[in-house]
Amino acid sequence: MATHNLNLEGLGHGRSQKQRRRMVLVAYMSFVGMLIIVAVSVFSGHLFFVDPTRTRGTPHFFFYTVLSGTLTITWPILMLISIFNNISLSRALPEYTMKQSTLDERQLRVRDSAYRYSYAIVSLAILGIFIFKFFTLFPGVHFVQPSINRFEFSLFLMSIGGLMNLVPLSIIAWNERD
Amino acid sequence: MDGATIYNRLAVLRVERNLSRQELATALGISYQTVGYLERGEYNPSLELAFKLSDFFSLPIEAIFSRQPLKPLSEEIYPAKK
Repeated sequence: MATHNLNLEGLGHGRSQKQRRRMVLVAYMSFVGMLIIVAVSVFSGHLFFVDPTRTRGTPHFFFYTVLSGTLTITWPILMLISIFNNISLSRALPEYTMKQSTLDERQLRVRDSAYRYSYAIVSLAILGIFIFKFFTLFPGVHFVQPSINRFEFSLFLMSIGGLMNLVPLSIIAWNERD
Repeated sequence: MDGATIYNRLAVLRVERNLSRQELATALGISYQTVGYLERGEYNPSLELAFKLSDFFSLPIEAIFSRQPLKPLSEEIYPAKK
């Protein structure tokens, strides 16, 4: 008689649901961290920056330098964590991410539903950015002060690119049971 | 869960035949997670999959799936004496 456990299988995903949920949380936390850094960077530039020739050597200049240095170092670290998590999530869900996937009827439904939600979420995020950009382009309708430069806007676009990959995978990884 | 609740005996039938979820899944061409979802009643199979299950266990569909909660098999074979 076979002695294998009839209910508990080896994990097909390579990761348990608990592990996958942890990865999703880390990925979103790093993503939110990147957004916060961009926001702090934009606002701090307007709040604290004073001509360095007049403030060099003062505590104000020191604070601004430390802050901008920290932000500059932290952002790429968070971006690497986010990219690493995206790759790990893809590897944790091989049947959903392989080119020649063999999904069964339930998995197809799960994947389609995840993509439907993702389109809505990412569309809202893009709409939010355009609204934000609209208020920064026309000074007459400002209620937020900063004007975003091209570099910062490209960071936003990169974040949206990352989000487009992360959201559907994270929905599947979060919900799919072992 | 989608739509109305459909009860099933898949877990009992599988264990009776000493099959693991992976073995049943391979035989049916689905993932073992889907077998788990079916057994827990968290996913209602398509008609095609229901027929596949019926063929696999050599039982009519109504012996596997039901709209009413299913009695234990032992109770159906040996009804309780009054």
